[in-house]
Parts: sequence; structure tokens; C-alpha cells
Amino acid sequence: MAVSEQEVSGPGEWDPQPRPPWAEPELPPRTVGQRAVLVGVLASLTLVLAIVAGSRGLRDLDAAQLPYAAATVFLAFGLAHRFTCWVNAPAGRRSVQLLRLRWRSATSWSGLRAEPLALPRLARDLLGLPQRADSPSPADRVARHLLCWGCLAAAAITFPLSWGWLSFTVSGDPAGSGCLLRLWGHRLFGFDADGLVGWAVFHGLALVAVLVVATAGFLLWRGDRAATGGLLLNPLVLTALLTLAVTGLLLTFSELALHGAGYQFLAVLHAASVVFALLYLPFSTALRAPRGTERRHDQP
Amino acid sequence: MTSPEEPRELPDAASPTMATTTRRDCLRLVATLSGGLAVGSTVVAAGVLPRHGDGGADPLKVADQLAPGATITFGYPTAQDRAIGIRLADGSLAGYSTVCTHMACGVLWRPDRGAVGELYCPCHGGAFDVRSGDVTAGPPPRGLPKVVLVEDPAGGIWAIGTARSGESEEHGVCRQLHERDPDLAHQAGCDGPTVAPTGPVKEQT
Repeated sequence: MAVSEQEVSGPGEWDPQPRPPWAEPELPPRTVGQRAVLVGVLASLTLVLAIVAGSRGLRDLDAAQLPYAAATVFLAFGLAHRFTCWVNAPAGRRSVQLLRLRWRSATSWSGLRAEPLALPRLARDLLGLPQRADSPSPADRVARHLLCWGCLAAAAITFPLSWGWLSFTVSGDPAGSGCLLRLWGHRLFGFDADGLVGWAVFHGLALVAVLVVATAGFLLWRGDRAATGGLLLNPLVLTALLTLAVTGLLLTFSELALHGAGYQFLAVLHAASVVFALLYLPFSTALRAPRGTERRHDQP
Repeated sequence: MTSPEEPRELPDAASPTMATTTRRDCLRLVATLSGGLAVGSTVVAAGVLPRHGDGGADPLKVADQLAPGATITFGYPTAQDRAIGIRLADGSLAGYSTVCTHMACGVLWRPDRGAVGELYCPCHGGAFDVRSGDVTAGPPPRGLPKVVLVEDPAGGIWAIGTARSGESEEHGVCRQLHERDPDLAHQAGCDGPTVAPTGPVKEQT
């Protein structure tokens, strides 16, 4: 590791103890940037191992899922990198301390008796769900709730799918319509592919996309009349979500109405918008600390 | 004065320094996208992802009898490679991997679709011709891999090999036979028709 003289010369900084001449030179402590890169790489490698293991040695991972899976690996690096930087910044340290205090308080008997809703509120803040004080009108609040839950549902479907963790197999008579949903190769539940449940399972992302298009469109239309702040109210994030949802719906349209015409082009368009969003998101200005942490900094 | 522990070069997320996306940020994003695309394409082209229904195995008896219109599911060439055997109404046999070539979903047999029925993937509406395995509708990028089925004199149905998407059954079986036993492949005529000599062979000098 190359160490510049400025980094080691100042008093109060790194001050190695005298060591015998034959000893290996002591390396300076890692900087925040180096630590962030290390944590990011570890997070990415962990995710890669999880993908390989969960897809049964890539057996359940299709080439069409690979761009999404690769983008999530980059996303893991970006989020871990960003989180490490944030945690090491003064505001981040205070937020983490505050979160720890809130967690201890919410999970202690005395805390539960005094404030039974502390744990749900902590979960709400960590998930970034909207609060009454954040929204100027009930319509905004409902739209933000629907958008937030829509994004969480989409993530819960998309990530395991793109990692090859979920797979669909035929059950029973192949001339019938029985299907099995499997997680890591293990059976989760069976359903009728021609039934309502089957349609909802195969088009779950399209249903979520309708929700996202409606709510993201509404919030973009509201513009500055809506309350500012928060990840999901960033115009770029809203536009990215709208793009993802619209291109995803176009895929469904091609499948249902056009017998797959233009599907390959639309699939590339959708993949590009998803990959761009996943790569941009962790380094964008939209990503902030979990709400409900900064606002209490001034409290003792 | 800051110690190495202080994030002097990494300002808080909410600071104005991080509030703009710079030209270098865009370049990093584009470079990451392009690099990822190149690496991903190379990885796929190198064959890292397993091919479903590919490879050879010993002949496997999958059914004692198969009446017209009946189907049978089995695992071939390995137990994990899900496959289907179909006896069509005209008596011919068709065998395919039931793993869709798009997103690896399970493929269903729909006898009521098309002229003689078709193989259908409910995930994204992909459809395959039951006689050739070719894609007839939907997003699958290529046809279904075949499982070569033959019938013995007693009516038993055997899986004897596989053929890749778009590959003929003969070519697929010969390719696997060449890989396993080149002499046997030669004897089976996989090197082309063997022509018996009709006259005295001149000694080549």
C-alpha cells in the first residue's frame, strides 16, 4: 500500500511505534474510502456466492436474467460502499447511535409498555414509508404509501427471480395445467397455471407496475405541491420508476396482445432501464439516511 | 486537522458536494455499464450457464407403452433435466426438454392448441411446435432441445440421446456418440454412408 508523506507526518494522525529494522513495516490504518471499497467488494462477493448457491450452481439462472443479476451485484457494491461512507461520517454515526437507542428502547419490556408502537415506527422509518407529517394531503400520503409498497413488492419479486432463486416447474400431468413455484429448488406451493392465482403469479410484476405507473405519475404531476424530501419523491427516481414500469408493461402487452412480437427489443429496453436505475441509485443524491434519524439529532 | 478515520474526502450524503452528478460520475456509470456488458457477454459465450436438456446419457426406458395422445414425463439425460414424451395422434413420438429457453420456466403440453397441439410456457406465453420444437409464439429465443425417443418391438419407449435447439435428432445422437465412442459412431454410420467396395481396390502408392 502506497503511503504519502502528508498522510503520516501530521501529529495526531497515524504514529507507528518504533519497530526493529527487520520487522515488516506497519501499514497505516485504512481510510474510510478504502474501507468502503473493501466492504463493497465483500458485499458483492457474498451476493455472487448467494446467487450461485441459490440457483443451484446457476442451473436455474437463465441468460435473460443475467443482466439483472449482474446489476444487483453492482448495486450491492454501491449500497455497501455508500453505507460505509455514511456510517463513518459524523451524521451517520449519530444516526446509527440513535437507531441503536431506538432499537433497544423498542425491544425492552419497559419500552414496549411505554410505547407499544415504537417497533413498527422504527420499521416504518427504516423502510422509508411516508408519515402523516411528510404529506400535505391524504391523496399524497396514499400515493406515497402505494408507491412505497409497490416498490417493496417489486423488489421482493424481482430480486429472487433475477438471482435464479425462484423457478417454475410442471407438476403432475404435463397435459394439465399444474405448476409449482420453487425457491432454491424446494417446493413453495402449487397452483393452476390457467387459474386466477396462476395469472397473478405470472403477472405479479405487471400488476405492481400498474400501481407504480399510477402513483409515480401522480406524484410527478403533483410536483412541488407535494412535500419534498425522501427517496421516492426525487424526480429522477420517480422518472426511473416510471420508465421501468412502462417498459415492463410493454413486455406484458407484447406477450398478451402481440404474441411476443417485438419482445426481444422491449426486453433489451427494459433491461437497460433497470440496469441503469440499479447502477445509478446507490450513488445518486436521492439516497439519504433512513428518515426518523436525523430529525432527532438535536434531542439529548 | 483530520485523522485517517475522518471521512474528509467523503462528505456527508446531504452535503452540496454530493448534490450534483458530475461528468466523472456519468463516465463511471457508462464505463461500468459497458464493462459489465462485455464481461457478461463473455461469460455467457464461454458457456458458464448450464444448457438444459443437453448432453448424452445411457439409453433410458421411460415407458412400457405409450398410447396415442398420451404423455410421459421423465428426467433425461440426468434426473434433474425434466423432459416430456408425447405420442401424437398419428402415432409418431416427440420428446422435448420441458425447460423453456426463456427464463427456464416449465413447459406444458396443450393438445387442444394448434393443428396437433403445442408446447406452451405459461410464464410469458411462449409456444413451441410439437413436431420440430421451433418457437411459434412468444419471447423464447430458440426452440426446445429435443430428447430422441425410439420404440422397441415390445412397445417400450426409450430415450437414447438429445439434440440441441434447431439440431436434427440424427446429428445430436451422432455428436454424442462421437464424444463417447468414436468407433461406435463410425460403425453406426455417423461419418456418412458407408459404401461397400464393388471391385478390386487398387493399391495406392
